[in-house]
Amino acid sequence: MDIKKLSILGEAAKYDICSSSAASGRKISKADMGNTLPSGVCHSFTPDGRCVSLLKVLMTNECEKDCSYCPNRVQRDVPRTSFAPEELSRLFIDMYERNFIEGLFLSSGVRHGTSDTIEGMLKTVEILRLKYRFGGYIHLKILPGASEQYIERAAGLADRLSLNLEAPNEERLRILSKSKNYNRDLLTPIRNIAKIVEKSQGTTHTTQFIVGAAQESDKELLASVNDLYKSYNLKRAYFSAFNPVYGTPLENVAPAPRIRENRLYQSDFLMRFYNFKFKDFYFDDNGNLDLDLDPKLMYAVRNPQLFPIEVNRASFQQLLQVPGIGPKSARKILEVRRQYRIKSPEELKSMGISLKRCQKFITISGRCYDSSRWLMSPHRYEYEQLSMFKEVSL
Amino acid sequence: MIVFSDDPQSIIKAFLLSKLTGDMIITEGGNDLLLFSGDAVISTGSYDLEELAEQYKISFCRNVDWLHTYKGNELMHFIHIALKHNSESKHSIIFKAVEDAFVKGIDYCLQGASIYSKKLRSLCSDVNHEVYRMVGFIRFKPAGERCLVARAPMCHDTIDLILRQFQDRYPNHRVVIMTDQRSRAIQNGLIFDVNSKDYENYLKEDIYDSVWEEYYKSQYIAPRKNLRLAASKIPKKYWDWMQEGNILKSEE
Repeated sequence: MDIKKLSILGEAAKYDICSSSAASGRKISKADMGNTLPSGVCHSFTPDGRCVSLLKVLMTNECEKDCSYCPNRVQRDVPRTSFAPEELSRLFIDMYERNFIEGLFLSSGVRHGTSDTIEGMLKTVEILRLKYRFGGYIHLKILPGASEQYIERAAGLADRLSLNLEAPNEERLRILSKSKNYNRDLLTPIRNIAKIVEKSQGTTHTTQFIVGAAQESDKELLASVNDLYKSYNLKRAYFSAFNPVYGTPLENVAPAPRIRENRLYQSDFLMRFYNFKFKDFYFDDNGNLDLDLDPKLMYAVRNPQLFPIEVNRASFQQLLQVPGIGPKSARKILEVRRQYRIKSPEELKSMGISLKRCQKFITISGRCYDSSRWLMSPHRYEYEQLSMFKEVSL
Repeated sequence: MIVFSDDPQSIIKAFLLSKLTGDMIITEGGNDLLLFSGDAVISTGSYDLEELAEQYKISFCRNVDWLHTYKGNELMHFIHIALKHNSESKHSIIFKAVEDAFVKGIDYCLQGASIYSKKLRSLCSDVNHEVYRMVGFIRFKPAGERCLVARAPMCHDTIDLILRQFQDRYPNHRVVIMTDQRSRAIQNGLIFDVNSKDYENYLKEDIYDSVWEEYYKSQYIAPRKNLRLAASKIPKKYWDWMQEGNILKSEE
């Protein structure tokens, strides 16, 4: 077994963030091995804290595309290699049997055209499903420009499909790649995926954006994500903070701050689980989210007329607007309220609600336990210690 | 004195009996008291839960209809899981939480609004965490045709819960898990004890250990290093047992 090959193709795939293995339903009946769980399973965590649950590899890192952020771009001088479908499927089954992994995440560089590459990827998955009767999780990457026929085959085999948009619009994509067309290569296949996935039970689709590589703003990214959720039936969007790769045209571009990625995920979750609309987010003059205050706190600060709310009377939707109260906590409050009146902050604390965050925004049985004055000036002032010897311009 | 078995129904019956008769429940460490109790020992096995609930309802004018709904089942499930915990005080926590359910309402208890119901949820969470982690962290070695074997460190009595999870994953295999205390296996849905000596030989290193190590290293993005987060996901107590623990240690 060529361990070096796995190392090269594993490393080439590591920038794909999605590592979820959660799925419902089975793609084959009477599986010989493998199942999916609605919660997914993490099998390990790397020193960067990311979950390792899937065998995340490329079919090949040979690529004819010129994406300026990508470690596998055609002009880059790196060792190139590829898996044969039989070889990869055997390796995967052996690793799955030993419980190292929960499923397969298969992507690829584009070699000899999109169709040829996808054919190899589909063959690998077909061997797993039909020869080994593998009933577990498979995430298949759809390559830019893939035809409807391939997407249909992929949807029948995989639990999740994804095509990375990388940039929020055509203008930004042009900075990242000269050979990709936003509408033809990315949006049209995504539209086809959405259409096919709707008919194929148990299959979902996702996408990923690179944050900070094309100098795009958070507003552009969230507008694109909002559109994908509304019109393309997207399960979720992933964000990957840009890290420059040596030997690429963007090697001198500064990496995107991790907190920015975090703020985008928070906004994404607010849209998916908290019924927040795009208009509920507040951006600065450059179209970016505030890095000091999270988007929900920012919403509360900009809408002080909505607070404080009484936990014993507030609706589910009102509770969701309170910083520190999520859908799970809101449901708990509603359940308890049916038979019992909440009387003290300790009861909320016992239910797992963060009092530190929510106390300013609520009353409990008519009593407010914290001052809401903070709402008037939420940004902390940074005081600087002046030096006796520093020149001060008066 | 009321004695009960480690079964959710028996625990609820014991609670109801204690309220109806005013007798004391014998919890952990209390078995010595039985020596002096003579004939005054009530066993929950000889009572029917529905009858006891009805008597409790009449005597204390409290609604206990939830016992026969999904909420009652949920409480039973919590108790079943909490009983797997290795804590010495688990029985007293469970009884206090059951009291909350009957006195303050089932939702109050299930949502963990009081100290004891929160502690009950915390016991369940510890047990569920161990099951979830072990389902991911255990590494098997093939032991002959369609048999997989692994050794795992466990704090709580979770071996059966974990085996059930693996049965769905490997439906046509015999799965053997060995701990310091015992060795159990599951095959065709049946869980049974096995002799660990029969499987010890299969636990030696194979080529896939180095395959995994190489793959694990390839997934690390050094500029995003966050060892605190990694340590919260893989607690340090597992670092000596797991192969990647050495890599995590070297990054410290």
